[in-house]
Amino acid sequence: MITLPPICDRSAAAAIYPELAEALGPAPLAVDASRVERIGQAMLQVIVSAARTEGGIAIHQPSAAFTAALALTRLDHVVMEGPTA
Amino acid sequence: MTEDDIQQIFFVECEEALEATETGLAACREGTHDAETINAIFRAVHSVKGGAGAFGHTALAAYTHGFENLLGESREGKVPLEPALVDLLLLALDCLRDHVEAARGGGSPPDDADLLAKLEAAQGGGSGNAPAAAPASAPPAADPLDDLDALLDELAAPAPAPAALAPASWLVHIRPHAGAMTKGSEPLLWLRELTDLGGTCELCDISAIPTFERLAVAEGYLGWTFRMPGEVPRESVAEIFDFVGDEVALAYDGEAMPPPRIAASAPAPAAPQAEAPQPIAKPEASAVAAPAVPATNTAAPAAGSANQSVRIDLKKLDMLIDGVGELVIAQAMLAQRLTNENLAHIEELALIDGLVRDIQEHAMAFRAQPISSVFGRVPRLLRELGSSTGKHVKLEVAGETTELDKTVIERLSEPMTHLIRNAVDHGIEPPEERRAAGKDPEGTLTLSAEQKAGRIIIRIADDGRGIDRDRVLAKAIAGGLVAPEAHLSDDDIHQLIFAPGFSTAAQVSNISGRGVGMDVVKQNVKELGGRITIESVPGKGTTFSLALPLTLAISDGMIVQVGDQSLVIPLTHVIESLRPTPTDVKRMGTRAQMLNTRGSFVPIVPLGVLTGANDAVANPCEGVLVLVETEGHGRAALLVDAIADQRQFVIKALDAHYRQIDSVAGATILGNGKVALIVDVDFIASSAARDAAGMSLAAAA
Repeated sequence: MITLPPICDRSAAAAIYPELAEALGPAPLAVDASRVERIGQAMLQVIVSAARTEGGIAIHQPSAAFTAALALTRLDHVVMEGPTA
Repeated sequence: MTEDDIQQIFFVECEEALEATETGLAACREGTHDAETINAIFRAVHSVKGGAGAFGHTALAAYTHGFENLLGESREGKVPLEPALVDLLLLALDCLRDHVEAARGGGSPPDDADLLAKLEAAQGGGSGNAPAAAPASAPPAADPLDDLDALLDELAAPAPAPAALAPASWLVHIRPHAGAMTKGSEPLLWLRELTDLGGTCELCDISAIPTFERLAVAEGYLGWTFRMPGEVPRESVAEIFDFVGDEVALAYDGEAMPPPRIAASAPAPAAPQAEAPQPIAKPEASAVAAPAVPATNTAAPAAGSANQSVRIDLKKLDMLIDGVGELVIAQAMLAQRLTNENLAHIEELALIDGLVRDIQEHAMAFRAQPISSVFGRVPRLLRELGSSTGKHVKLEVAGETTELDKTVIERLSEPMTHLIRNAVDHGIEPPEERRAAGKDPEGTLTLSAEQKAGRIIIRIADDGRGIDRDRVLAKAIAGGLVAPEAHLSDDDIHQLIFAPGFSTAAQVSNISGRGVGMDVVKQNVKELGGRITIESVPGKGTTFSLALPLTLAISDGMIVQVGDQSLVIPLTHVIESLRPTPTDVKRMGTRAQMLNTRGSFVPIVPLGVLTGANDAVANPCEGVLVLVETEGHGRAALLVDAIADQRQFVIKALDAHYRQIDSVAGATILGNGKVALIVDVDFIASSAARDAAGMSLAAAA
């Protein structure tokens, strides 16, 4: 399980990228989005790209801010398609 | 760079924006504005709004939004720019300033509900508060050359698509590039603004996102298509992006989504398209438009190239200046050593001398700021005073580009505020009284600054009733400040208003009249090494002149020998030095002596007596007289043994290490490593003048 930080800006995206690269595998990677308060384009790109890998990701407990950002950018279907808990 | 640093930059930009708005609105008030003035104000407020949104200052963003709406209407000519509207905008500016302060200090934002309601009410036809409700029929056609955005939009959309024929809805394609995610900007915030305008996201283009292994976090891969309601003008959308520069590509309606701009290493399937000459994207348009149509060069790009600057931490700057101070001392020591070796006149020393002086001047210039930052606050002060006293005061400013040391600037605003409050409260009469006296019912306050003989002279002049000398004298006698039988010159009476606890105001108002102001002013100015003088003509007005040093750290001085002591006389005071003949010196009473300089008598002050130096010359004919002048207390001749040198000296405050001593302005370290006291010429001249006056009265009696 990888947890997204509250402020998902560009530097957070850069910080989490190697972690995700390490953890992505054949099975959906659990990503905890419950603490997200702010999210930017850079992090969304990382998440979208991760979602399109072989195993993809599964978002757990998305916060309101996270869901709102996905709705705003119409990325909800791309990111949330996987099994959510 | 951390977010905090960026935030600091934002606040600096806010200051600039506030100043620009103030200047613009002042022009509007005087009627010297044009279409570009309004545009500049709009841009300034808009950039505050953009930054506020990016940093999450919601109160500030919401307020600027309301402010901006009204400005937008007035920019489009829907609301006529009448004096009443300008006044409202000025009020709104004051509130905006409070908002910025609150955002910076983390304090609670001011209550803006009333003002926002007023702003909204002032909008034409009572149209709604969101730009979404603004009628789409008004491209800023008043002067399209002034509106780069509009022009760019036209270039971006070659097919004429007048907003009046707007379809039911239209599309905008947004493609943020890598730079759009840096410097605190965030593409998602713009998308939110589009949503606020009534837009909906139709599509997110994720085709450019590479596989995870090849992803570069800093690149922009996403693009969006938003459907905007037909009544939203294209300009309102362009405005959202207008402070982003070319880091975001925009395209409209039938045009293709602009391709991503990704560094060459990444696979870029759309790259060939990007190179194709398609004048779709805004960045290309701006790149082409700027050189091709010079007339569209508005202030913004011009200022960008003219004003190149670097922001430096003040601490680093002060370290440099401290270093320069030590360098000046070290250079003096070197000169001293070489003199001992009989090498004082070698060329290299003169070279170093010149270089040190240059470096010092440049280093001081780093700290110099235009005084406009102090003057810039005055309009607001006058507005506030105007509303509380009912006296409307015009402001005239001259020399606002004069530069002063930052420390002086910072410590100047308090005494200036006091003086201005006083001028409005006591100096300028109420409108009825002015009318009766045959004056313009609106008072005038004139601020000026100029550099003169190594000092900055700041004048604060009102055209009010002037100082009522009889009343001041009566008050002073009643308050026991002067003896009832004293004969005082006009100047002496003026100086009385600086006495602690002195006030002539019949009524204590919340503005002034408590008698704590003026002595503080005098103290502040004195601490800055400055002097304050008053000229007042009854019925015509009063002028306060502040003479301030250019810098607080290094100054030019004459090093004199008095007995076994070295003293420094600041060069700004020195007029001449001379060795008198016995006929030039007149004795007054038993102790005092006067020097006859070309017909006028000047008191001689033996510095040896004041400093208690051993073996000082007592006979003026055996020593040297240094003639000094002060602004308030006339001249004096300082008796010294000999003049040793004339050079720069680094001022070390005495009260920081010891305590304040009358007649000593500070200390410095000489080339031989000894400490020399700096003579407080002002104090010595004033006490000499007083003694001389007493002496002549005694002689007359």
